[in-house]
Amino acid sequence: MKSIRKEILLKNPETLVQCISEYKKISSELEPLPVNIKIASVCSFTLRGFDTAISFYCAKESLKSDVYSAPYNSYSQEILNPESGLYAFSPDIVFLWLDTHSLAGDSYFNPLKKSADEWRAWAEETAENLLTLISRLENGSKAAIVVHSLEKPVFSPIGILEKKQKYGIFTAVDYINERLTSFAYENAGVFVFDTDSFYMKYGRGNLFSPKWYYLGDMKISPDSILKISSEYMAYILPRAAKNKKCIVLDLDNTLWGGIIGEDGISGIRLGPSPDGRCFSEFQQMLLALFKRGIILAVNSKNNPEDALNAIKNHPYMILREKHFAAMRINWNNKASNLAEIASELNIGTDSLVFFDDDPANRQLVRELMPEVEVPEMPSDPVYYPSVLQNMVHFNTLNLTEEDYKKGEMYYTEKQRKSLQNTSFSQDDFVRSLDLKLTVASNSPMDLPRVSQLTLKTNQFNMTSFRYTEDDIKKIISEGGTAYSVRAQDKFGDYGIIGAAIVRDSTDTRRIDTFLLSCRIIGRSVEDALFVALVSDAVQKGIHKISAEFIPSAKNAPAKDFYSKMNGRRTETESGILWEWVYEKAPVFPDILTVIRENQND
Amino acid sequence: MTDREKLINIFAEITGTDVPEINDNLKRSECEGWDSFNHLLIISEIESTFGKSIKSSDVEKINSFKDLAEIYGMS
Repeated sequence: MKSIRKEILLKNPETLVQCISEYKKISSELEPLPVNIKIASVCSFTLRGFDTAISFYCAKESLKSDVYSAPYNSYSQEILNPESGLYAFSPDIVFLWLDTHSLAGDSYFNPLKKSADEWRAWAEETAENLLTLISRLENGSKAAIVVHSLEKPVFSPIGILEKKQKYGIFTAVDYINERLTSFAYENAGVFVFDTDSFYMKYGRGNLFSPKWYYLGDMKISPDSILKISSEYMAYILPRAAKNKKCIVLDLDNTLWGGIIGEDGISGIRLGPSPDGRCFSEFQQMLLALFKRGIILAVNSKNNPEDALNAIKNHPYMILREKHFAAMRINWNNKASNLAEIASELNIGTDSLVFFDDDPANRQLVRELMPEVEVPEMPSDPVYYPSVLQNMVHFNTLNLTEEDYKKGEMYYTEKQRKSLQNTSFSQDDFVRSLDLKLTVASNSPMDLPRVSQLTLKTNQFNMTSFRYTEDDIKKIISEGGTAYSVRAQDKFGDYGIIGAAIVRDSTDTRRIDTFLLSCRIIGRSVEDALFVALVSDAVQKGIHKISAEFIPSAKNAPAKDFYSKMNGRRTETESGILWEWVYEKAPVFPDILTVIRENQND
Repeated sequence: MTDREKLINIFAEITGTDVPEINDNLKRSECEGWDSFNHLLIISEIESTFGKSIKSSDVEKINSFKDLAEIYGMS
């Protein structure tokens, strides 16, 4: 996949045909790879070519997709019939795009056909129907559901008086969209795609052409299918756990204008001047991403004293030392610095985005580490903020308390590391942390984070099964249990850093998911979580435990955990199955404290 | 590359027809890859590539490669 990514990294087709031909070139290489994401599109009009376009954008992000396009204009049947092709396909994500014209029929062009009361009734009925469709889809599949809001019509027979009438098609559209938004607010697995913002971003006239509409019932032109596909990636990346976690920044001509080693702290451009403001605003946006849980780091060729002086003391610097989880300010090559940063932060290099104004550095990193996202930086820095605006890579399907605290957590982690360096052994180190774990089961408050962990955790993750919050609720309603582990030590609160999902039969507890955030690996938390799962089973009279380890490209750190538990080992098609028999509950490790919460049967 | 050569390449790419087989005698009814969707793709790609536009009512009058080349002035 790395070589495919490298090949198409800089290919930015402008037309659907160019995209199809680029995709053809890599399709034989893609063919043997396993599918990472199953995408379905359900539409009230023709969106032909979407399957190739979205597969192309997925391949650009090292994802092999399988795409299902529901038959033309059969969205109701597809959703309402549990035997439909859509459910047989079993998608991970569904894009549902019903346009206002399809829903309103002829009244779309002739809104005076309906009275105010009729429009009001139509809006109520349409909203109900839409929500019924979405609920059916939600209950019938494990997919994340992305539903388009209805677009505003472009024509009003009463023109400027449209907004002055009591109730018309515009009011109806607003009402339906509001209902969609509040439904998505209540349902974690449902997202609203703002169609009008999409039209606004690219210009409706550039997306829609009467020619394609009349000739082929296409509500967007063939070439615009590329635009909608690239917007959809904002949802697909987090669903496939491919969202980026860390932004690594160059300094000179990236965070400020000029070269600190030559221009000095008073010479660099940053702050309220025509040539400094774009850097300030770029930094503001990075700070906003930091506050929502994106990690920031520095990778710069400079004398560390010069650069640190600017970071600490420049009056208009917005990002300061405390915002950077790792810094490499040296004369080494930038690719090896990136590798070091990733390993220091315990994240994969494919979680990194690298900003650098120097094309040579960008080229070097793309060449050596194609998995790192390296955006093209325009030669004029006034366009820097728009580079960030157009990136979809930081999206997550939810935001938890842990995300908002992440920056602070990396700071406390640095302090822990210095304690670790002075401890004799790993156990001594853990003891000196005063680590306290709270293990909860089926705690509704914790489920968004449990889902997030299944979606994001790649390293210490036994099976790498990805679940939305709704999936987990469903597992619980079927008798399963979702465990969450919260950790605290003398330096601070880690938040929820571990999770497990188990399903019980009469005599066996099957561990479906067992994972730990990489920050806490090696502090006996995994042992404690395992003991908690086994103890609960034993208490219920279940003595057999089974668990599978399914190897992935990244979960090597989890590989040996089950093997040290002395179970029966069987090789399976997907990995290794472990089985244990516990007559009585094992004991928790004595180097930490475990508190149990909301235990239920 | 002349415009006509570009046109041939576009046509070949979309319909999967081999370049040597593309000539004025090629009929839409006899060309396997020239279905109704690909027909629209050809028009769309020509219009994006050359910035030329034809009337929608002329789109369905194109029945051969000759018609296609003529209507865009690339015969």
